[in-house]
Amino acid sequence: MDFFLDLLVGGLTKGSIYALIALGYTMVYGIIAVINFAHGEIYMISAFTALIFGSILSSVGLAGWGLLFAVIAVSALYAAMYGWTVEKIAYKPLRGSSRLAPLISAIGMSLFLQNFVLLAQTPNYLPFPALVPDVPFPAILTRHASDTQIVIILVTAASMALLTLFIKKTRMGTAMRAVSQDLEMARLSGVDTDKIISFTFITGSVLAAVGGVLIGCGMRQIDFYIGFLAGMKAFTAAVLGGIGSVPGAVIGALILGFAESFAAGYISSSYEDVVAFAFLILILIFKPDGVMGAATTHKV
Amino acid sequence: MPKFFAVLAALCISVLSSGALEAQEETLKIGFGGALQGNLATYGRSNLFGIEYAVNLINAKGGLLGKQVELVKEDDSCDPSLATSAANKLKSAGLTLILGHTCSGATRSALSVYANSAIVISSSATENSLTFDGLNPYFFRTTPYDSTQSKLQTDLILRLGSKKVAILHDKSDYGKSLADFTAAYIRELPGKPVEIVLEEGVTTNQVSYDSVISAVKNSEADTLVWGGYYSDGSKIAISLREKGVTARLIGADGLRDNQFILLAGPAAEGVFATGQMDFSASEEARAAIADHRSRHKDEMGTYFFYAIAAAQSLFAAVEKTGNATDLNAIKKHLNEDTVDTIMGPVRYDQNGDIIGAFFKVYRVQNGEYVEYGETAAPALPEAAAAPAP
Amino acid sequence: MPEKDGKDPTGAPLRRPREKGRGKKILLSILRPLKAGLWLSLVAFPLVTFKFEAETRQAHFLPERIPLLLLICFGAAVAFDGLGWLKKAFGPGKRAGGILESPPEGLNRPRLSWVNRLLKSRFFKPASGVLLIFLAVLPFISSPYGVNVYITALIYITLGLGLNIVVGVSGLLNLGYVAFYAVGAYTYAILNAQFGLSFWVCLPLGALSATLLGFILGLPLLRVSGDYLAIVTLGFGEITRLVLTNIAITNGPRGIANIPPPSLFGFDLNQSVKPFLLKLGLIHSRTDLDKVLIYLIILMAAILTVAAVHRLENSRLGRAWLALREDETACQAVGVNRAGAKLTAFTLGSTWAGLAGVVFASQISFINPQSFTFMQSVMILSIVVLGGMGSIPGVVCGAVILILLPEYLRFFADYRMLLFGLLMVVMMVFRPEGLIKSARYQHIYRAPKAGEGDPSDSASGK
Repeated sequence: MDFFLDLLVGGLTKGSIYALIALGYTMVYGIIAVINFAHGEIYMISAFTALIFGSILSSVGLAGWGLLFAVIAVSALYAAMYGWTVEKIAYKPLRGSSRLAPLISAIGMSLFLQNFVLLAQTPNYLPFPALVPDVPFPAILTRHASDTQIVIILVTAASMALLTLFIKKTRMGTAMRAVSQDLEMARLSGVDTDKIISFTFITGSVLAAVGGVLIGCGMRQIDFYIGFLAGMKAFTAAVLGGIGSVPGAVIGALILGFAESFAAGYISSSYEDVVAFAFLILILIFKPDGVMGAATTHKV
Repeated sequence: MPKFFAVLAALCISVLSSGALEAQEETLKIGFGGALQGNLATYGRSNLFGIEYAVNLINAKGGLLGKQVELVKEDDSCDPSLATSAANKLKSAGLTLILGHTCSGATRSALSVYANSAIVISSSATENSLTFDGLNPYFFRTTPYDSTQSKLQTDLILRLGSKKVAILHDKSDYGKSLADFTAAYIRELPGKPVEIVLEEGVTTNQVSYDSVISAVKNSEADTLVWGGYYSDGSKIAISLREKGVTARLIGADGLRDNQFILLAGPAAEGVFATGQMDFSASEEARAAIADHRSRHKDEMGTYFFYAIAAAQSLFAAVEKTGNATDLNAIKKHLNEDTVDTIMGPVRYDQNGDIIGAFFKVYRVQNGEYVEYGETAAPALPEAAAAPAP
Repeated sequence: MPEKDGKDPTGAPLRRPREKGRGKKILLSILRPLKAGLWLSLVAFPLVTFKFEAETRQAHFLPERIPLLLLICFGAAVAFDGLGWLKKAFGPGKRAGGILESPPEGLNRPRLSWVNRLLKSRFFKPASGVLLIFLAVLPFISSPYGVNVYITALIYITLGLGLNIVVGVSGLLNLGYVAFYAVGAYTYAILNAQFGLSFWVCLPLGALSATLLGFILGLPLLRVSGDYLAIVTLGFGEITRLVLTNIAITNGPRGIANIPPPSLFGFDLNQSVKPFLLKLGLIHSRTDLDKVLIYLIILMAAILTVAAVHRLENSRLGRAWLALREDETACQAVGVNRAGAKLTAFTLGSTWAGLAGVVFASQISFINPQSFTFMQSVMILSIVVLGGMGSIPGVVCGAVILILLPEYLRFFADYRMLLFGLLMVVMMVFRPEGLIKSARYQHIYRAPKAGEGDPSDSASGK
């Protein structure tokens, strides 16, 4: 039972990180039907920004929770700037062209950003400071989860709640939902679609930045390549949940996290990814539009 | 068809550039192949620093065979297919003396390109079969082969009195070899005093290692052997500590890098790693270190002295042969003559492996790797002092 | 119409306000790149001017990087702005891929792109003959390094054309194509290591096993479509790689070494034939005949692939694939066997990957799962999209560019992959349809003239 709970928490942590990144994929896809391949790199860049600003801010005297949230805020700001810029350079000029053209320019962008960080910073691994302060969590929690794991899960849950509120309650959120349902129609009813698309990229990037900082705290080291695998897994999670659906991305991410964690624990970590992907394929065969995806009907 | 034009254009460029390469040689060109980019560039650069030092040294003394030595560098990023193209480039340039490559996989694919057309000395490719399979008579290396370390690790496990061992590897060529050798040595132990409770590959660059660490915890292992590099090794060390797992961590030279201590921080304390002997005490070595510090900001890395020794032994053999093209004569000198290098007196056995015991067990103490010898205090690391109930 | 004579309805000349507008326009066109440059500098600022040092665990400020940062950012902004202007001038809007059927008079006739014009010109046949001879001679006059690069380019042409059937023609986004490539390569490596089978036996066997796997994996794919299909194929690709890493017969991550090059009638080319050719003065002493043979084999395979794919595209099956790409539901509605078309596209596409895999194994002589990562699938997909989806000359061009570009960018050393990524973005923005847009066949409805029969007979062309 102890082992089971350990794995459950492990899966929840993994799923939380995947969810933060997967939301960026799913929101962008929901609006312009483009797989934003460069999204994983935004996550990587926020981890680097967090590292740099963590060092600067702690040298001016910030510490504890203040430091953690200041670092999250600054890297979210920069991630938003990167997300916005990437959209303007690599996607906006391609709007209206074939479905795959933006995919390739996104891959190019991803290569570019990876190598940009490699050249500007370092090809080596960098140690990430323990930004999460010591908290006297109740013993019932710390029996199966480390402090960092608890913080990762809590921050993720809070981000999800904020995002849901934002999408459901604000004007901008309503506009985003409108655009994702029908871009043309939303434009006709007076929504500035360009602005909404930019804003979607910004929202996705901010969430990825939260993920980037948390993963830095969790793994305690980063390098220029961390965005690739995390991005791929998160994208998988987004599709698994039904791409375009916000709750779907979270559910997909959690399913993937649990599948990997339990496979590593009960089968073999050598086959962890095999099990995760096999699970994914099985789900999609029986539910071809993802877990939460609406079954689409085609009209010709 | 446009293909033809594109290929034509490509050909023009390549013909022009290969023409430029044909310029009359006034220097003796020696090739270097290894990782200068990518995530394993630290290792490649460490090799290159050593080789460049040896080259500068011999050039200052008047060069080799009366000519100045010139290093031709090709990056392979430790990728087998890039290594093929790097090796092809060096071979095309007509080089018969190669120092490299960095990683085992890349070295193997490069060797099949050189196809016995060059003397190749690597100072960091450690996989057994590179020399054991007897397919590359002109290949030599200054690092001991992989299973040397597995043997040492097994001895250490016995010495520490471990009963249950978990073995993890990073699914890389290097890591899996190490893990498999150690597992094999442990299984061969007479009386089976040690039980292997977990033996798995770990997906690297993951967002979390918690699940696999939970599996280690669940297996109740008192020792975890890590076959892999420091990057994931440090994540595992941190994860072990955060999850409160008391198993001691044993790694190999991929872990015995100061980068590991830097990345793992306090979690590195008490970790064991087998690795190269420390050569930095001698007069010659201190001069090399001082020279390196004056030129580069980066650390000289693990393979610095191996690379210097590789270059030194090659230069000595070529000088004795009197030319750089009689591969058989150079090979004979490498096998038979003992040469004084920065690592001490060195020669190679018939397989091409260096003769001498250059591996030791180290342990992190107060943020530094310290040799863990017979004489060292037998106390177990704090974390392992109270074994799991 | 008052504008015609340059006066507005009140009779006042329009010159002044128009000039004012122009001034503002020029000012804007200067300000725009400046603004963009400033923004880019701001975005890149922290990562460029602060460097985190692992040893001290501190970020260090590097003011000396600021001028370079500004130079590159403003340079890039101006260049991108310039590209935007170029795109407006020469971009797709003005050029159509063209149609191959001549439309009836009175209709605007879209211009064919120069490539498609070239393909139809009467110089095409003799010119391609000359170039074919040139290509056959090429390996004998290039350096071994050059030959190696050309082999790689030709392998990717074959792979690109194979994937083109799946993605370009049939519109099934396949992100796990590399799995079939791996199966081909491993088929040769394993059969050779275990049973000593030769290259020539393994070439068809490799293609066959990839085809078989394509068929088996294609079956569950019938259930999913669109991006779900993409992710399922990605999953298959990863599973294949992981299985190759974990099972014993592939020797795990250590891979399989010493895969022999193909032999010609049992001769060892470099040992027995080379001295003879050298004596005749036909080849350079550095020429590696094994590699030359591989080059010639893959050249033949590539030409064969071009021919086969061309024939396939214009077959009944090819038209079914096109219909599938345009609209799955509609294609089913008009009686195309959707499942059959999908399965054949997926299966036949895999065949070429298997073929290329066998040649790759013999070229590199050492394979391990690291050679078959997701990034490889992405590379092959980039070839298809960048070259021009569905266009054979486009895919060939895309492969040549994407393989040769990094080789020639080696000059830029560390900046190589950075530039490569940037060029991919620029090429896509500049030509979103790919370098060479595929020529579309069009059905043209000709209005029946008076006295002619049933109008449905006069739909011309295919």
